Amino acid sequence: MKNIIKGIMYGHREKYWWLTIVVPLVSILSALVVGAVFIWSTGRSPVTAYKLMFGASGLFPGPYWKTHFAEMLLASSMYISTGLAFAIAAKGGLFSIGAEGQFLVGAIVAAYFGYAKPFANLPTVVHLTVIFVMVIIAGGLWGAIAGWLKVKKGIHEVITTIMLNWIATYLIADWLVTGPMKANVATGVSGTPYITKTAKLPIILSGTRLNISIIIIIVVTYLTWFLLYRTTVGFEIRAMGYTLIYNMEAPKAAGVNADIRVVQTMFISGAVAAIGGSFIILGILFQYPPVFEGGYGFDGIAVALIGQNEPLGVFLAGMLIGGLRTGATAVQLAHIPKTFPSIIEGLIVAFIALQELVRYLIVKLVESGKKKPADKNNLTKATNGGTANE
Amino acid sequence: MKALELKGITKQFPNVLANDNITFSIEKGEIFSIVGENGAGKSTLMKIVYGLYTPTSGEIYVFEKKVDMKSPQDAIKLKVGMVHQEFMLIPRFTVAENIVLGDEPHRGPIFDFRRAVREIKELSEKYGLKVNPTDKVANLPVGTQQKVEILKILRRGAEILIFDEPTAVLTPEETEDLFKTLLALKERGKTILFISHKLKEVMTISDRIAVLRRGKLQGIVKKDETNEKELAHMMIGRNVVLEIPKADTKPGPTVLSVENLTVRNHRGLIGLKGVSFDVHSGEIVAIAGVEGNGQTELVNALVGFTRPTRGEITLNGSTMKMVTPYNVRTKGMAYIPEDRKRRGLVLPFKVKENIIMGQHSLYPFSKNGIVNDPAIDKFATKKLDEFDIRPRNIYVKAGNLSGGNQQKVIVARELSMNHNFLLASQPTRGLDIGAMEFVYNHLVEEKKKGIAILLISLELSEVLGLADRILVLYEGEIVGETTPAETNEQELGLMMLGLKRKEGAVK
Amino acid sequence: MNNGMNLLNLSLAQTFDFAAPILFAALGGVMSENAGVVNIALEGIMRFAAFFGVWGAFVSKSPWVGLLWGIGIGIVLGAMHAYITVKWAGDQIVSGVAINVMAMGIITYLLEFVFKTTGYSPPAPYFGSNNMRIHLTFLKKIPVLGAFSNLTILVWLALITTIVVHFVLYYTVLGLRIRSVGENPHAAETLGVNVFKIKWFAVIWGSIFAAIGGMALSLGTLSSFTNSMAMGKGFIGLAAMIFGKWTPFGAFWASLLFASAQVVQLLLQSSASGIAKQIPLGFYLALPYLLTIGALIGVVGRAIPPAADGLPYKKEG
Repeated sequence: MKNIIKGIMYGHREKYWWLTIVVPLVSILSALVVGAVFIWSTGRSPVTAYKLMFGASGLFPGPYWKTHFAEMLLASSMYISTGLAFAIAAKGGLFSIGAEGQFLVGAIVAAYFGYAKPFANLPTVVHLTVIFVMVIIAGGLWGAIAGWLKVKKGIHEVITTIMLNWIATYLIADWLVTGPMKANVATGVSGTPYITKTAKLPIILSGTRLNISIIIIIVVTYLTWFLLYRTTVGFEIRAMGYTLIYNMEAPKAAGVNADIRVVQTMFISGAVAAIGGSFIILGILFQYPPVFEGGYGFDGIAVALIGQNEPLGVFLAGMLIGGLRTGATAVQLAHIPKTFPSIIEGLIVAFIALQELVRYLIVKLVESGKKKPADKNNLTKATNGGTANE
Repeated sequence: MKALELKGITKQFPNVLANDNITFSIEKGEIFSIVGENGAGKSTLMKIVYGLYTPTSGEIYVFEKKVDMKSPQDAIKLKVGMVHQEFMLIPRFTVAENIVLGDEPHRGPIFDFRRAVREIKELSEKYGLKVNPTDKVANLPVGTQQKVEILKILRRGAEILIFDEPTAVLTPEETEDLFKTLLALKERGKTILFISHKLKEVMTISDRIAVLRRGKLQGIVKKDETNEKELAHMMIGRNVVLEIPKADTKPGPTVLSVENLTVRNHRGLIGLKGVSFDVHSGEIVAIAGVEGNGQTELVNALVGFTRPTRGEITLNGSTMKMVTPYNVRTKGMAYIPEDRKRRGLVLPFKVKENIIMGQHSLYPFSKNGIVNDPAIDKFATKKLDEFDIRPRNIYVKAGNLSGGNQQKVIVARELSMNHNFLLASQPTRGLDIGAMEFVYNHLVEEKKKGIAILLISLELSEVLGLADRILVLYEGEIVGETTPAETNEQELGLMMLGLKRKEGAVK
Repeated sequence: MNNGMNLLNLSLAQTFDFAAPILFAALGGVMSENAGVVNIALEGIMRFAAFFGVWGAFVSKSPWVGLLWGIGIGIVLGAMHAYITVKWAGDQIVSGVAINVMAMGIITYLLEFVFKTTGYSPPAPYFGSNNMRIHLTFLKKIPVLGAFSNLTILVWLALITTIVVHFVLYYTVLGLRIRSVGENPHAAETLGVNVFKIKWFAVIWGSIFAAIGGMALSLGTLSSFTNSMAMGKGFIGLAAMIFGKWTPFGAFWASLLFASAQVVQLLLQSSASGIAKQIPLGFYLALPYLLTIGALIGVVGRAIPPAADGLPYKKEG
């Protein structure tokens, strides 16, 4: 046992391995500071703004905590789903921007099977199972298209996923919702019809809207970790992601069928994002509205980047963004628009993009603290993550 | 007059002392070679001279003036030019555009392409380096691309020309052509620094030779006062003669059969032309040849990375319609690739993960698709001992191992797979003597066990020492079959250069 | 007959109107990606500039000042993208995502801060007003050319920029160097090309183009900023750039194609009945994106981006 621990510690013996954790934290703090300067420059009080935002974020105890906490978890479960979707693809070396579209696909499919006749009167457990199976299949297939086009036609997934996002957006909003899935005018409902009671996610905290979506997403997060680190498929996915610059030659030479894995990875990624899309229909809106406020997919990229593409990291980052968004309504009391959190979010991502600089500065700080002459070569090495490149 | 002088050049990298106090000087109009094994510090030294690296300490003098080189631009200004091992060309640009980039003929802001073409034509005639200025570089053979590189630096007025392993990618004719060019340049008073690890070439072309070993200068000798053996001794530090164990085994049944195999290379040209041969159980068949004569195409087709345009591959009795890495592996092929970092290992993976890659979905390493860590740890620990992989820690990332230990991980993995055919493609590339011997011993052990081995090698000593049969590959064809007993280095060398054929019964 | 001709000219003019923002964004992409820097922040930059343009025009009562404000913010954002990706070799896509996310937050914030409104700004003087348009009355009656008789200056600027970018990229020393940096920065470096300077230059000019594209929306076709304004135009621009194989003229034709899909959709919605009208709006809106994917499937192997596109460049040693 002792040997194993020693071994694992040795594996982490690269200098400054803790930067993986510190860099996102520093990025978040820096973003909050810059955000404060921004508020201050527009003549408002950053202290009040942050007090209101974090007070209502549900991240910390305070007045009405129960409600805020519930709302935070509701929002987080969606950000975590799109964040995981991005992270799964990223682990396999795929840069999928497609969570936005897959999220919408999941939402519309959930809406349809939530009200469609033959399913409407099933018992809740059966009805929800049917819905989730359909959501997973549809979202997965939507994601798999990008994987398939990459494998068969060599089209970069960044392009296809962006295109598929807009295709999903327009086909859903300007065809399905206003056409075949439109609610009967006589009912006075715009958008799709409301889902039946049996399709609603059961509430788990009475007096709030908090439903089982958070439990589902905890399970999904665990399954994602399990998939990546405990299964042979995950082993292959990670091997592919690590060897992207070498065209995945090493895993391919070892017999890994990279083509199939790419399509599978995109399927799983799409399915996870679609599950998030179903949450908003089955737990919050109960129908697909005529105007859908999206953005969960794009925020998911930010969430994954802040969480360093690790399932647990994504979960925590999703809680943070969910919290900021929940607190957003409160900042309006300080006459600050409720999109303020997305400024913070953007800034965090900007600092993540600048992690070479952040790493460099942290390492410099540490080295000067040790009063050692800072050797430039050592610094560059540490900032490169410590992997030897002979 | 001294064209270039180095005084006490030292370069310290985080883990390695790449150059240790190196001092020498080169006369104007001299062809000066630097030889050394892979990793001896040749390339680092040249990058310092070219301004790509800054030395940790030491001084550089160009034409007897102390200089401070911070970038290639500084080097160019000082009339130092370099032909890199990997060409610094832009495939989509024309020859003329590639040559004039950075110092373009122009009228105002407008690029004067016609004048560029004219200039290159003149330059190419002046030095006898034939190129067509309007050709796209992507469509040119490697030898011509190298000419473009040389013209590039000549146009900048280079007086000192550095060639970093220039023959590695050339065919024998192209090499000869290059040597003619080098001599012509010398005639015109240019100074040439020639970097290589091929002693024969160095002995052909140089005036003086410096030998590097592990970052240290071992000595400088005049070509006329030395021989290959002495150089090799200086390079390696002991007698070169590797003890390759012998094992006489009787070849058994055919394991691999290649029939009329034709393969295109990455540029879409035919790289392997209708090659046929067999490998039997318990024998080592070596493919000898100069790099770039079809070896890559052969390996890629056998492993399933490239689809052959024609021909059949039969492994253990079954003729494969679609060759994929997965198929060949399930049919009993083990594969030691030539480029371990690219094709052999996942560098950020731990040793224990690398050592089971390929078998990871088999029992006991996984059950029902779920990884079984205790079994992997046990296996990895055992293999680390068995193959003496250091450090003895299965959690270390493969990228943090030395080259020799990385190769050992691959050998350990491939040999523990269920196989009866082993494809060893340049298995000792870039290894030191100790690691080489390790690989040789294991190959012979395999042979004793009755494994069929196809060895692809550029080293004649390796081929002659290990092989039972030798097939010589030249320009994509097998130009001869022989055995170590029937031939010698000289004859093999001639065959590899396409100057001699030996039609044995190839099958 | 006369009516038909009028319709043709009007539709063409409208196509140009719709194409201008896409074309500017695409040219921005062409500029920066030919130097090897992917810029998916085009979308965010357009949004920023669309707002700043209106803000400037509103404050100064002149669209020209607005144009300068928009270009200014374009330069700032371009410099930010370059600082992250060129100076610190940060991930180009991540940096682009950051700018896009910030564009959502900051502009909505500023909209409320500056105009005390949500959703849209009050009208400002713009280039689409009759006295600001370029009138070429003599062309009016000629088929096709008549489309050019009453365009805004921003549309003309888009057409001119296309030609200028083409000329710069393929006929000047600077263009040769930009493309060399996008293809093989190491080769360019060894020949004395200042890779970092070229990248900074290309990224900032690319952002300026995208910024003007954003203003072609807010100061060109409309006279105000609406919160849903740039939605997707930057990404269509990106698609147009790919569709056009990273060349200015290619981007031009692709932008026209995408814009005409929009015009055709509007025409069919407003005029004749028939089967075409039965096709739901969503399909027309999704058409440019479907076309892009279709084109990529069709031309695979030929539409190759610059070899070093998207790769961070670090100096050795």
